[in-house]
Amino acid sequence: MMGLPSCREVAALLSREQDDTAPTPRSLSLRLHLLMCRHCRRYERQLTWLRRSFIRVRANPVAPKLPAHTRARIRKRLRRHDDFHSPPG
Amino acid sequence: MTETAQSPAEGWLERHGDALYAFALRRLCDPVTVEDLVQETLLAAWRSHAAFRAESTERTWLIGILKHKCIDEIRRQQRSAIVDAMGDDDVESQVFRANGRWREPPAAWGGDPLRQLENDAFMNAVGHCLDNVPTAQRASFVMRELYDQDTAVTSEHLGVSQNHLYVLLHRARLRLRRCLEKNGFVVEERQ
Repeated sequence: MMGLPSCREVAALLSREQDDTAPTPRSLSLRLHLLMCRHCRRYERQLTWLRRSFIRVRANPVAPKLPAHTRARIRKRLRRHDDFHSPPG
Repeated sequence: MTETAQSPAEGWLERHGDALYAFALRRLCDPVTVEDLVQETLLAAWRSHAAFRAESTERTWLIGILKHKCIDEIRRQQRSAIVDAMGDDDVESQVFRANGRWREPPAAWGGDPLRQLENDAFMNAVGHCLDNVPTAQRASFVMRELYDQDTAVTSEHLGVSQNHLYVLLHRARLRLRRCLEKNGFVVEERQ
């Protein structure tokens, strides 16, 4: 694959595409490498999958609950200021 | 001792405690820190009570405060560690051969991995894997993927150049991908 970027370089370029707000169009050599290399195609798919999973995690309303003992501790801490009927300084 | 009227902060704790906890937990992966941050958020909200504007909902307002606190915390953790020098991490030479080809090619993942897992299982695996990622890489990755901050904001928060940030994120992804796979997390069924 003379003249084409190595897998190591391709992986860095694919990662950068995930972060660039305005990604530059793919070079011919990058596209050719991807056409020929199933490992890098796979890496690309997996990066996309990870990105989608994180979007889903950020959006999902189902969630772990604040443990009862923590809730009680925080409530106690908030109560300490009740004597003053005003927020803590 | 007379029962005092409930403070607004207690009301917020009751109504939004779970939501705040969940928001931070799935972005920091460290329950102890998260509990402290929820408490600090309620105290800070109480102090700046007057700043609350009715156009945002109470919960959105509280989550906004919490989000700032979480990002500060990531920044604090990252600054207290020595910023990984560019040459410090050899993940790339572990993953790639000297000629630039994959030494450990990615294994095939399942047909629709998005359906494989509940979010909590996914985040547990991610949290476990991120534990072994160098601090600066982890901080970059969390800010980017979990707080959805763009690279300009992330590099400013972490005090690194954008080019350094690209490298940190790239290395974090190589490590995370490899770790998820090693944990049998997303391996395709054998054919």
